[in-house]
Amino acid sequence: MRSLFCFSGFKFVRFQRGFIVLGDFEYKRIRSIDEGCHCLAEAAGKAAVLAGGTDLLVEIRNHLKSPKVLIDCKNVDALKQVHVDRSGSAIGASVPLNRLIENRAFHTTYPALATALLSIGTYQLRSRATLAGNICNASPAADSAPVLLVLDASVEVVGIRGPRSIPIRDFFVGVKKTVLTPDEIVVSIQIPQRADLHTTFLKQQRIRGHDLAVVNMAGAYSPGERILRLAIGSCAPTPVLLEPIKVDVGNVASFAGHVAEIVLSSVSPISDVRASSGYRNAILPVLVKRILHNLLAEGGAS
Amino acid sequence: MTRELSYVGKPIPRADAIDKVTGSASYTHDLCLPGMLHTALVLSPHASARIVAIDSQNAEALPGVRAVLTGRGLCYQLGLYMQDKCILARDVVRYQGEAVVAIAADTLDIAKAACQLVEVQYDLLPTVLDPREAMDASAHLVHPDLHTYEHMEGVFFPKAHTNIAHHQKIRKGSFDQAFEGADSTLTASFYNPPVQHVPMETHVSVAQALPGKRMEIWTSSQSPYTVRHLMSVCFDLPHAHVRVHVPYVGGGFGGKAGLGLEPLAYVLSRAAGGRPVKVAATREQEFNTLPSRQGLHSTIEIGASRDGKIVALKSTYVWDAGAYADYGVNIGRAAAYSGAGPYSIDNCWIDSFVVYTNKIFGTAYRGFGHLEILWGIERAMDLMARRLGMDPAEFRRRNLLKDGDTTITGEAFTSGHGNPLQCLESVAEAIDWGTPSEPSVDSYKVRGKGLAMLHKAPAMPTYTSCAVVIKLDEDGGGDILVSGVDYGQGTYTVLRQIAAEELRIPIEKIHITWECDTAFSPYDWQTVASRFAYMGGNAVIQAAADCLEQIRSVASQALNVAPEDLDFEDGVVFPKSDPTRGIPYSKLTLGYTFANGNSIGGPIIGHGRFIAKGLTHLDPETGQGLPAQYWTYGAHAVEIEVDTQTGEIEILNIVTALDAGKVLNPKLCIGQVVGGVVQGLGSALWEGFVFDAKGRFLNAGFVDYKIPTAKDIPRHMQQILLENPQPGGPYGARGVAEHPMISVPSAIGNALYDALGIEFNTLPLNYERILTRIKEKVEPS
Repeated sequence: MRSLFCFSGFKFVRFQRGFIVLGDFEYKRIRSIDEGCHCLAEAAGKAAVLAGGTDLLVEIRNHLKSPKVLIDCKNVDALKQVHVDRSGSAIGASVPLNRLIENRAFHTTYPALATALLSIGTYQLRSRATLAGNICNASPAADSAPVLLVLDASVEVVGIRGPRSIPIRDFFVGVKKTVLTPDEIVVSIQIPQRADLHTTFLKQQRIRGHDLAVVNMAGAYSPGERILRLAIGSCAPTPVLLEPIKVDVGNVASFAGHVAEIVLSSVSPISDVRASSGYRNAILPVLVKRILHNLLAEGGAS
Repeated sequence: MTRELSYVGKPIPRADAIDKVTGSASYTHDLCLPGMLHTALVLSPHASARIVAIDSQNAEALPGVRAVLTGRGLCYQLGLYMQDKCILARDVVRYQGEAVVAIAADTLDIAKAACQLVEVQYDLLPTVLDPREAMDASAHLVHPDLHTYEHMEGVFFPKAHTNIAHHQKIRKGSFDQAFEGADSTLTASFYNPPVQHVPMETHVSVAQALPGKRMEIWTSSQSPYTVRHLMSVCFDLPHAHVRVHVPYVGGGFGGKAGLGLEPLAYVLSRAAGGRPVKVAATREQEFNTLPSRQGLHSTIEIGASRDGKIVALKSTYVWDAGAYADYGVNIGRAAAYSGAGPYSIDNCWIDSFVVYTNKIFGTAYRGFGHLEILWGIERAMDLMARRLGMDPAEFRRRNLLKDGDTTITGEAFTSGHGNPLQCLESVAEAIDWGTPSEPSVDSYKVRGKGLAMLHKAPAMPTYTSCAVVIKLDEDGGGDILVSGVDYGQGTYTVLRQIAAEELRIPIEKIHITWECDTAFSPYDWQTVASRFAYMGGNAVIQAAADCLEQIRSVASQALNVAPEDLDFEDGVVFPKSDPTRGIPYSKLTLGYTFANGNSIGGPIIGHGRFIAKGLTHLDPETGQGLPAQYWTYGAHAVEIEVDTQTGEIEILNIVTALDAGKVLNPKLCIGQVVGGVVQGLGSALWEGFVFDAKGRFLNAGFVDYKIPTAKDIPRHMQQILLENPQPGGPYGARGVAEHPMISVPSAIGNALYDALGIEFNTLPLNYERILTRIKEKVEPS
């Protein structure tokens, strides 16, 4: 807080940076995962885990959530770790997005994920926002979700009954809803490393600057197996992962049409203030075509 | 021989840059007075309803709550041009988001919690949302008592027992006859949605009711003296009992031109026993409770001869004023006298209706109606040109105002008005007009070019005036006192340049403090209408001359030289015959002391003033008269690329030419142009309020109301500043602040036709709208 005195007429006027009190909650800064699980269990569903807070604090301010306890997990060493190597990677739950985006190994290993993360919010927000937060918030439009889905990532969590690993494809159950139980805390996101995969992420938004996705989509292609995996965001209550599709490289144009049909039959976009369902339905085949163009052009070259 | 200029016309850096970059600039939001209370509002969830009952007992009982106010106890009607607004909704609510109850408490949290305890019962009333329907005789009346409202007589003409707050007419020649006789005619309709100013600093005011019927106000405002005047009239206090401070302001764009939250802050302070009260808008309230830019439905009819001369033009403007029209009526007026574009038209008929609806209300916004009307006019010019088989630039060339023409209000156009044709030719050349765009590298992308003209004059009362005081300091420097506000546009820097030039002292010695205070700063009407550099600049020239005359008088005695034989340079006054015998100003500014101790003169304070010259009211029936102190003309040309699969537009290049008369500071002027064009892109491509069928505002916040960001700035932007001097302007300058924004949508709309062969008449030109129209063209339903 900064203040200064400024002589104004006949009296001293104090200028002071304002502050906003968010709500009536207890703030707990945990030191270990176990402590976090116990706090969560004790609060019996009335607690929220604070990592970056870029969604949570706004929701509290707008009275969409009113947790009794806020459990700040940013001080737990285990959650701050980033491991990126050939066998796979683990991204700690409290790691800010910018730390990932600016990590060269991460960037070269998961270029599509880096692209997706770079499209989340603004630079300032990405200094706080986390990958775990992006998926725990469970927005249908979460930009990291489609890439994590096609990469077959898993969410490592710990609860009072111990740890478990949840495949990302089982993680989302509805708008802003996940399979996490009230006592569980996300420790990390595990991403398998498959050097043979070509991946890409596309996002249709309303402006070039920061925006939520009107539609987002990720694709992963394995040229050896000729298998395509595709995931779509913002077009259903949860991000949607398609069953693996055998790629017909002979006729890319008709294959793209075939994939677009699968996509359209797998999603159920709604009309909202961001876009009509008609626009989303029109964009889906375009993104399919562009993803296939990116992947198969790359894939064909290898 | 004219003297070479040292500061005027030079790229002097902004005087406020260091304060702003270091964060040491303090704004009203930062203000915290001892004992200050904070305010939260209960807003109407309904667009149109009768307030049946308000139960605020529980809120009043909450510890820390100091004042709970409803509209019922506040029998005030406020307004500058049209007194149609209460401080809080009384008896009825007229838009969703209107403030119904205000609570001041020790903390913002307590105030917010207290608001949750207020219960308001409403009876729903009919809702009228479309201003065209609101003009029907059977429409629900938003203001049944309109006929009783005070307003500026002879200038505005509300129609009793209708929703029409003002009807401005322009009648010149005989439209019907000329239209019928035209070789070719065109009728087209256009729409602009309401949009927001989105200043970085939301509206905020702090007020304190003081003993002895006095009040003190700190506010984020463009118009300290208008705030003072309206507050004094409204609360029946002597003007000097109302003291208004305006510290740094974080952007206004017209939205802070009139009264904002000041009356509410004051009545809360009065109710709380005189404790200072802050009322600060949240970002959502900035959208949903505070005023916006009006929407516009326009219909343009043009008749032209085979050889491309416009013989008749009729415009019908239906402004969506929203629930209140205090400023809206003046926009409707300005839009009418500018309502045919910068063209010479002998037979012109314009009706401009400002119509109440149950939506967020409108106010001034950079361009003051001109972006909106020129969206229709400049699109219609392209449509007409094509109907005639003529190049759109050539069609404009044949119709632009030139020396000897008269405007639609009967004003003689002279070379002193500037050169619209040169603006057109400049942008046409820069965009390589006439040469089709290079094809895109991607097969699914198409390119096109478009251009559009613009014009605007300051919309202000005929008696608009301002004053400037320059106090000279011990060191020979000076302080400029003004109460026009520099809320980012750069005028204070320009006034310093002019003062330094005129006083002939280094610019570093000229200061302006970023805090207006009506107790000390001399009068200025309002900081709007792109007239501060023009009027304030002229007043500074006069104030500096006053200072020099005083210096001359004292120096003449000190040097024993006739006053007319003295000259000034670099802070020194000297005999023309012997410059080495000069005296530095610093030895004269507080008085001159002779060697023996005798002293003459005294502190030097210069005064300058300026009042609009020769303006007349417009004839109520024909609109004939002189509404404009000066006109500024300009043009944009744009080249775009459209992704036909997604509807996305990329601006490849946008060129802007403005006839500035004289560029007082090229660095700041170019900054204004770039900022204005980008703001215009917002109106063109993305911005627009979305309401549901019940009048609820659906995108009142940054999540779903998108404005251009750094990433949306076009890669190529070119600014061409012309200098055909304005007689009577300071150094020949005229205003250019609002203008860059105007007609940006029109140029893009015209380029879209060039690229796609599709006519777009509705803003914004968002990706979805473009793709929908492309699909309709490819697969007609």
